[in-house]
Amino acid sequence: MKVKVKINNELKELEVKEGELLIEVLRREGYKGVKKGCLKGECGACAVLLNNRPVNSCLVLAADIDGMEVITIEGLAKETEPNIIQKSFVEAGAVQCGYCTPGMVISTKALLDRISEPTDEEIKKALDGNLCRCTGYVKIIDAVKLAVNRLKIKT
Amino acid sequence: MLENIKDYFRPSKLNDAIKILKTGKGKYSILAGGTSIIQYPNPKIEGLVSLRDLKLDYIKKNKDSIKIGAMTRISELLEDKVIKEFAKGLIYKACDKIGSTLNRNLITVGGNIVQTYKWSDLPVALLVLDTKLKISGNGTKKIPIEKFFIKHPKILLKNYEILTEIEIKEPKGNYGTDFIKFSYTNVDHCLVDVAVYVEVEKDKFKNIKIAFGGIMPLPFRAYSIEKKLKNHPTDSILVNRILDEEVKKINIGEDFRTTKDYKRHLLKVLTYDAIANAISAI
Repeated sequence: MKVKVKINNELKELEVKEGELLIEVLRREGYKGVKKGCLKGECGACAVLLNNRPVNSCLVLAADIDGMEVITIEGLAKETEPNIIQKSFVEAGAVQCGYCTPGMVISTKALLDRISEPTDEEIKKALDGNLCRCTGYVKIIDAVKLAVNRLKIKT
Repeated sequence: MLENIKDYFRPSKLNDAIKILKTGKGKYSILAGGTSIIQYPNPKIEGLVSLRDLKLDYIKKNKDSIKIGAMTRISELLEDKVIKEFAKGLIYKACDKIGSTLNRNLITVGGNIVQTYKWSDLPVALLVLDTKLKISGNGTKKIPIEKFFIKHPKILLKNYEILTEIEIKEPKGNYGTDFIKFSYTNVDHCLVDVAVYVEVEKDKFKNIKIAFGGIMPLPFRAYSIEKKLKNHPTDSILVNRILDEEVKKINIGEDFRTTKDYKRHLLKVLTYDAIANAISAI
């Protein structure tokens, strides 16, 4: 079956199987920043923005997203120019193995679009579905705060 | 990949959805948030009927009740100002404890009630409120939530019946509520859920409703404890004594994560805390 979907601001018509998951379709289409982790909705490595809300793409049926908008990590910036959240993650040392980073950045983007100056609790809540086994989260929270400050300067 | 799924439907009318489900003769399932179907696929299911276009995504505040469409996402409830205050924040507290942010954006109100895993949090809170569930199939019926959870919803509901709306009466007068989820981590499934609704008059429980989750496959009201506490003084020593005796009688199901004794202890301590918090909220 065919689905029409906007991915990273580009309108696409994709052929999907009825039982296929969004993560499988996105990776097949080349959006490899959407990482395969637990495939059970527990780790957040496959997080994407679906109609501006962060979701685990491993828990979304591709057939069901006809007419919706998806933003993956690739849609946040150009290859040569990472966006402010991505830069902040690198500079704060919030990236070690890097596998969870796309999901973390997507969740951070959704948070900062909604709340420009989140509290520590709000940051933790927004990232509660993204697991990181390297950093211990301290640097990740630092990275979000760094992004908040940078975005403030920019605006 | 759900290998067995061969058909996908997205009707725009409720009657069409019911008709399609009937043609499936048990081989078609409703697709709401999708989290349960994808995490725990049922090999017998060959077709999915998406409820996305049925316009069941709403929160309507009436004079003395609130109506919530079954396709409303948990995160949408958390963002709603009315829900935040409703029943002294009881529904908000329960929703806030469901899964992670990423999954709360997918999980629907209807899914959390009908799938009813041992760890479903929302039904526990709804059990202590005057909640009715609107079911459409051959006609429409409204079932009080206490009667709904007599059997597992998957057995109680016919395979073409759809939960479309929940209606919750707004409590009036001097009342308090509380919801406590106990889990090893914030996003883990609960070991124990406790919801409490109290009305107090002259230092006595005029009315008390207690519901538990995480104990047996279905959430349930602790009628025996409620009966013992009703018209009883709110004195902490007496309440503790009653809980001591009554919690011993509660049947606790197996859970590989912990022992029954530990759950029983949690049940007693958390029920006491929830009652105390609910009284403070009056």
